[in-house]
Amino acid sequence: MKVKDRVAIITGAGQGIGKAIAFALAREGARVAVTDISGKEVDTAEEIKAFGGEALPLRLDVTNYLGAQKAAKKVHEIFGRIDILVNNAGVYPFKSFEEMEEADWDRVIEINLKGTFNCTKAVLPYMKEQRYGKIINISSIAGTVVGFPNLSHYCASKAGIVGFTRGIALEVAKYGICVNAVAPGPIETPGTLAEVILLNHEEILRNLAESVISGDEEKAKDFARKALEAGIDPLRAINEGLMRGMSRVGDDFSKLKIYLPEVMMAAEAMKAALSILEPAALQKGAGALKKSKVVIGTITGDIHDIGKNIVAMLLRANGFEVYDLGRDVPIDDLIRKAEEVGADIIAASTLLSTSMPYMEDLISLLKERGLRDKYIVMVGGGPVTREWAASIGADGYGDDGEEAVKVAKELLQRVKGK
Amino acid sequence: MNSIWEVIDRAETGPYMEERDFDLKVVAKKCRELVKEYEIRFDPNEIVTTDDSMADDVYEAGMRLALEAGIYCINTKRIIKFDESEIKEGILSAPKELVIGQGRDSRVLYARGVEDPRRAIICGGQAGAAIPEEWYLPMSISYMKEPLIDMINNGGLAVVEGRKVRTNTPLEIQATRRELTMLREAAARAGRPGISFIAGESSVSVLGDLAIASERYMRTSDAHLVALLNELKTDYDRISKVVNFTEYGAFNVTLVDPIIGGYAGGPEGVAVCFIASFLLGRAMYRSEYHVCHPIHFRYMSTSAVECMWNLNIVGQAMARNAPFIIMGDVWTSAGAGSEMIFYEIAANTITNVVTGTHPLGVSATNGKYPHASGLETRFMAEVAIATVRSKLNRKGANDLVVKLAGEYKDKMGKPDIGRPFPELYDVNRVVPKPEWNSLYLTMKKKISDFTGLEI
Repeated sequence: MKVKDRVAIITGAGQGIGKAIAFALAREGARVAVTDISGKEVDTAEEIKAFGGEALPLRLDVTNYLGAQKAAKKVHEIFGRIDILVNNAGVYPFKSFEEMEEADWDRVIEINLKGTFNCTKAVLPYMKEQRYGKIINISSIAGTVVGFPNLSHYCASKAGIVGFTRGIALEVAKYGICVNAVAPGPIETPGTLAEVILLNHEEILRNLAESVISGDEEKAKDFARKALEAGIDPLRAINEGLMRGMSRVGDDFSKLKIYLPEVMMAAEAMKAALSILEPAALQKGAGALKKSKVVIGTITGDIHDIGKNIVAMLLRANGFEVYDLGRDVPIDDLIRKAEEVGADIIAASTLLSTSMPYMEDLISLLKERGLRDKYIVMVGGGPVTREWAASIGADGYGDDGEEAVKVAKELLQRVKGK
Repeated sequence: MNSIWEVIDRAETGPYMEERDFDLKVVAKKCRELVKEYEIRFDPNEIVTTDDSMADDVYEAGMRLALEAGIYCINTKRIIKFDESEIKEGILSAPKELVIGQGRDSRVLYARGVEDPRRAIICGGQAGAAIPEEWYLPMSISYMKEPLIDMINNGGLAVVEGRKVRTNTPLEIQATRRELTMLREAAARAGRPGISFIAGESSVSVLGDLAIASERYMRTSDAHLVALLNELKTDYDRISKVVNFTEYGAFNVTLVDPIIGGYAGGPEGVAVCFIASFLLGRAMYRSEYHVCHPIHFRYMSTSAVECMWNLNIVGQAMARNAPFIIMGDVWTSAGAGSEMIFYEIAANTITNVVTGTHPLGVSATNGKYPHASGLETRFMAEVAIATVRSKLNRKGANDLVVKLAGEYKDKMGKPDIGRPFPELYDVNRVVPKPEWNSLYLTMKKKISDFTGLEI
C-alpha cells in the first residue's frame, strides 16, 4: 500500500473529517499521530488501536507554533520520520458579518490559516531532510468556489489556505515535498451537523419572518414547508418565524416606515404560511394554537373602513384570529358571527357620529340576549371618544390601532384570563 | 363632455374588479410606482417646498394615476373611467372664480395661486364635528359674528329633539333640516343673512341631503360636501347627492381626504392620490370647488407635519397646473381653550395661504369634541391675513411652519383638548368669556413675537 508504514500527522483528528482521515490512513497501514486540542485525540487513538492500527495521541493547539514544533519533534522521536501532514484543524462558528467581532475573525484565522502555517513550518525540516513529504491542507469550497453567508471569516481562511498551498508548493517541491489542498463541500460531521441544523432552523425561521415582512406569499409557503421538513416544531415556526415577522411589520407601520398595503400583504403571506403550519401544529396537539378571536366591522350606516382595516391588520399582526365583516355591518351580523366562531371580542368602528348609536344598540342587544358577559366589546373610530365608549358600557376603546391592540390584550388578560 | 348621466352609466358598465384588487393592485401599486418613478420625496424639514419641479412631478404623476385607475364604485364593483380629454375638459371648465353667498355677504371664492398676494377666503366652523343640539345655534353665531369669516362650514347634529340620530333613518332628515334651520337662524341673528354655507353635515347618507334642496334650507349660493371615499372610490349615495344638487343648482364640493399610511402609502403617495382625486372628482361630480384634507393615520390632524407637506405640495401642484378652487382644512389635535391650538392653527394656516388653498376650520380636536368656538377661527383668519400682508414667500413660510410645528408635534399623541363651547363662551351674549379671550390675546402676541408676523 502506498501509505503503509508512512508516518502521518493529522491535526484536528478528535472528530469529523480529521478523525476519518486518521482512520483511513491507519487502515491503509500508516502510523498516525492524531492531534487535537479537545482531548478527543485520545479516543481516536484508542479506536484506531482497537482495530489494530498504530496511533499516537497528541494534545495540540495549532495556533501555538512552539507547540507544533514540540509535537513534530515528538512524532519524529517516536516514529523516526514524518511523511505526511494533514492540516485539518479548523473551526466554523456561524456568525453574520454584522455580528462578527474582531476576536471572532482572529480566532478563525488563527486556527484555520495560521495553524496550517505553524504545523507546516514545524514538519518541514524533517521532510526536507528526508527529501520526502506530503502535506495536505484541508481547504473548502467555502471561499474558493462559493461563498457561504455567516461564514465570511471561514471563507477567508479557506481561500487563504489555497493561496498558501499554491505558494509553498512551488517553494518546497525541489525537496521532494508535495503540497496539495483539497476543498470539500459540506460534510456532515458532529461539528457541522449541529451547526447546520442550527443554521437551517435559524435560516428557515429568519426566512419565514422575512417572507411575512416582504409580503411574499410564495416564499412564506415555501419556508413553512421547509420548516416542517427540517423538523421544526410548527408552533415554533409560527411564533419565532411568522409572528416575529408580523411584530416587525406592526412596529414599522406604527413608525410610518411602511403603510397599509404592506401590512395587508404581510397578513396575506402569514395566512398562506399558517395554512401549512397550523394543521401540523394541531396534529401535534390540538389547542396548542388557540388564539383569541375578534369579530370586527365598520358598524351599520358607515362605509368608511380604512381605520377598521388598520386595526384588523394590527390585531392579526399580534396573533389574534380576526373575522373582518367589512363595512356597514348590521349589529345582528356582528353578534351572529361572534356566536358562530366563539369570539372573545366584538369590535366595532365608525367615522360617523350618526353611526355611533348603533354601537350602543350593539351593547343593548347583547344584554337583551343575555350575551353581554360572553364578549368583550371594543369601539373606536373618528368621532368616538374614550368617555363616550365608557358611557355606553363598552369594555374598551382605542384611540388608534396600536392602542386598540394593547387594550385588547389587556382586556383578554383581565376579563378572560388569556 | 361627460355628464352625471354618463357617470351613472359607467358605474353600471365599467370594468369589474374586486375591491381588494383595486385597493392593492391598482391604487397601492400605482402610487408606489409613480412615487418611485418621479422620485417624489417628503422632507420633514421642508414642509413648505420651493421646488416647482417637484410640484409639477406630483401633478403629472397624479394625472397618470387618474387615467390609469379611475374611480371605483363600491355598489357595483365597477370602475368609472375617464379618458384624458374628459379630465382635461374638467380642468378647463373648472371655475376659477365663484360668487358664493348672497347680497352684501357674498364673496368671490377664487382659485388661489402660489404665494398669492390676495386675501384668502376664510371658512369658519368646526367642520366634521358632532355638535350638541343645545349649543348649535350659539356656536354657529360665534363664527358668523366674526367679521373676518367669509363663509361657514360647521359640524352636524348627532342628537335632534333629544333623540340620537342614526344613519339611514328618518331622524337623519330631521337632523339635517334642523342643522340648516339653525344655521339660517344664526346667520340672521349675526346680521349675516346671506353668508354662504357648506352644510348638510348631518346628512351622512343621501337622506338628509335630499331633504334640504330647498331655499328654506340650502340656497343655490350654498354648497354641500361630496366625499371621494378612500381611496379613489365612490358609491351610489355620493352620486345621488351630486345628482340632487346638480339639478337643484347649488354647489357640489368634492371632499378629498386620503389617509397617510393607507392604501396610497406615505406622504408622497398620498400627494399623488390627491391630484388624481381632484381631477377625477371634477370629472365625475362636476364639483365647483374642492376641499383638501390629508388625514394622518394616527393623529388625523391636518396640522401634522406630513399633512401640511401634503397641503403644500398638492396646493402648489394644482395651482400651477390645474387651478381649481381649493379649501385647505385646518384640523387641530388640540381643542379651543388650550395654548397648543394656536401653534397648530398658525402653522397649518400659513401653509395653506402660501401654497394655494383657502383655510377652512378650525375643526378643533379633529371634531371629536365640541371644544371649539368662533374665537380661534378669528385667529386663523388673522394669521391668514398677516401672512399675505407680510408678503411671506415659501422659504419664509417654511422657516415659520417648521418652527411652529416644533412647538406641538411631540404633543399630538396626547393633546390638550381644551374645553367645551359653553365653558369658553357666554352662550346668551355669544361672546368669549374673559379667560378664553385673555388666553387668545396672550397667544396672539406670543405667536406674533415667535413668528415675526403682525397678527
